[in-house]
Amino acid sequence: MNQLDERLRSAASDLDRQLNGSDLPPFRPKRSATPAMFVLVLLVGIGIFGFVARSQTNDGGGISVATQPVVPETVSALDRDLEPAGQSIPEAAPTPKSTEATGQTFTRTNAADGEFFVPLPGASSWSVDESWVLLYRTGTGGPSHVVIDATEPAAPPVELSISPPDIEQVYWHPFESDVLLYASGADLVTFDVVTGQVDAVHSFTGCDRVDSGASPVPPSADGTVSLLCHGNGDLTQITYDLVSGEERRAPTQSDGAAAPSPSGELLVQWNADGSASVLDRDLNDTGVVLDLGNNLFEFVTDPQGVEWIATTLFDGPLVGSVVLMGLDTQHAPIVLIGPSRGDGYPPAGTMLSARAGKVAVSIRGAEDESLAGRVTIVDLDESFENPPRTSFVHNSEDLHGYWSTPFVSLSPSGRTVIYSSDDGTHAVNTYAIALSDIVEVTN
Amino acid sequence: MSESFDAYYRRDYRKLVGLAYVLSGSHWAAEDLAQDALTEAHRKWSTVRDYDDPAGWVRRVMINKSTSRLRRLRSETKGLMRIGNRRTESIHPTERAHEVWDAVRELPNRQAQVIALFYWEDRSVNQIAEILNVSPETAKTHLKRARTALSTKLEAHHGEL
Repeated sequence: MNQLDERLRSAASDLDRQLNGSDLPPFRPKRSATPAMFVLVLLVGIGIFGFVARSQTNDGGGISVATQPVVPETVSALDRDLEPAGQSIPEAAPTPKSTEATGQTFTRTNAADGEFFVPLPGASSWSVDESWVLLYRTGTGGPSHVVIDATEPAAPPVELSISPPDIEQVYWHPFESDVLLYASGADLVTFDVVTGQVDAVHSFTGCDRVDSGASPVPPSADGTVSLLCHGNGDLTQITYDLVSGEERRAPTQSDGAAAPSPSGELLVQWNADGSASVLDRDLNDTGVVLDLGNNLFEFVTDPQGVEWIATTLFDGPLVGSVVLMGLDTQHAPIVLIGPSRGDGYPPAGTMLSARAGKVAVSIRGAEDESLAGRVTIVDLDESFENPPRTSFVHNSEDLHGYWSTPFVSLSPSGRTVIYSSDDGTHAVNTYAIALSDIVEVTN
Repeated sequence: MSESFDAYYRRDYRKLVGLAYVLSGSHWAAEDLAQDALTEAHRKWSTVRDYDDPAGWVRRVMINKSTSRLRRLRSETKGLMRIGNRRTESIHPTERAHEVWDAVRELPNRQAQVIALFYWEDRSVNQIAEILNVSPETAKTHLKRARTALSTKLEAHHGEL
């Protein structure tokens, strides 16, 4: 044994002695990845932040910082001496802005004329700890993916050098705060936005390439990544568990990877007719078919831990509604927005985001009784069966086609929402608002 | 016959905490990491217990989770220090042992994991490869590079190992 071996073995023996002298604690099963002390620090941080925000909004000035993404300084901002890897966009720093139509105050990006900054649909723009926001920049300034330091209201967007298989198929890692996930060839890779380092997490054997298919499929909160494997002319549905490294495969005819529910226990897989089938974790068909009509959906978990989807329906008895649908046959749909709640028929172009017991619904168009022209927040934490709603005007006037869509993304804590709007100008910006600042109640 | 989760927990808990301690440098963080991995094992025990090496599976889970968890736990530590409520550490390694584990933690993640599994766990290169989901050659390369880096680091401290 050489000297290095001896020192390592000796250190191991020392540790062994110390651990053998300690008590064996009882097993404490816990499902949440958030330790109790983390929650405590989080709450302290929120308290500090809330106090600071309140102090700054009471100074009589017209500008408030209370609506910047609420990230407690004591947790998420601790390592903010780290700068994102990439090129800062050489423009003036974002400026806060008031919108007279609602009396709300937003923090915004600072797009030049013809430049568009939007959150991409289908996956959260927020990193797991809410310290970063991922946006897409296009128009005269793009195209590129950019991140904004959500803890720093004056931070300009920073361009990332990434090449996902589709602009929408780049996802925040469900556990790592600085890390994006996307497919590259037959690999699942990570991109660290701080260091710029790209690492292959897993290579999928037998696949010429992997991707999410026709639409983005973000990883679930439990670490399940779902992808389509393209190989030898065949399609295979694959799930990869970021925690255990386990892989599951099943042949598929679907043009999209099945979307894993937050628990990873269920997956929703598109069928050719626009409906979707519910699969279990082992990729077996549960027999439940959801009549989705190819509409976007987001997962929601009720207080009993039952998983649902929020989606729009433009056909059938609940036509013109945003509803919750169960992933089994036991639950009747619950209408969040729609004629049965006194709302007008919403036009197409409805975007959804669901996190932390809230659903954000943004509808294109000018304001009318259908909640068009507004971002509406449905609070399922208050009541799952008959949830209260608040809303605000997004001011997007459809001046730039698709890029004027009021894309919306709730933060993981459900405290902040970002959305994009052309605001009647030649640019599209992304705005943030703390949900606590929305004062208008929509019945 | 498969081992019960309770028996496994009693047998392996301290060893698992030790591995997490080597990687994290904090006893309470190590307990947190271990409990996290054990929770996963508990949830899937009916499957995991029949694996050839259930303890290896638990280690893979813990190591896969540890990168992000360690970052968060380091943040938590700083947060606790700010609010004056830092937890008391109950492991007090000797100065020489402390130097060794500190040097291990300065290594790239994979190298630190290989060293921890090799020296703390007494795992073979093949077992390490299995746990880390890499080839034995890759594990061997990590071990070799880690040993070279550690020799340099520890020599730099006192001019000797």
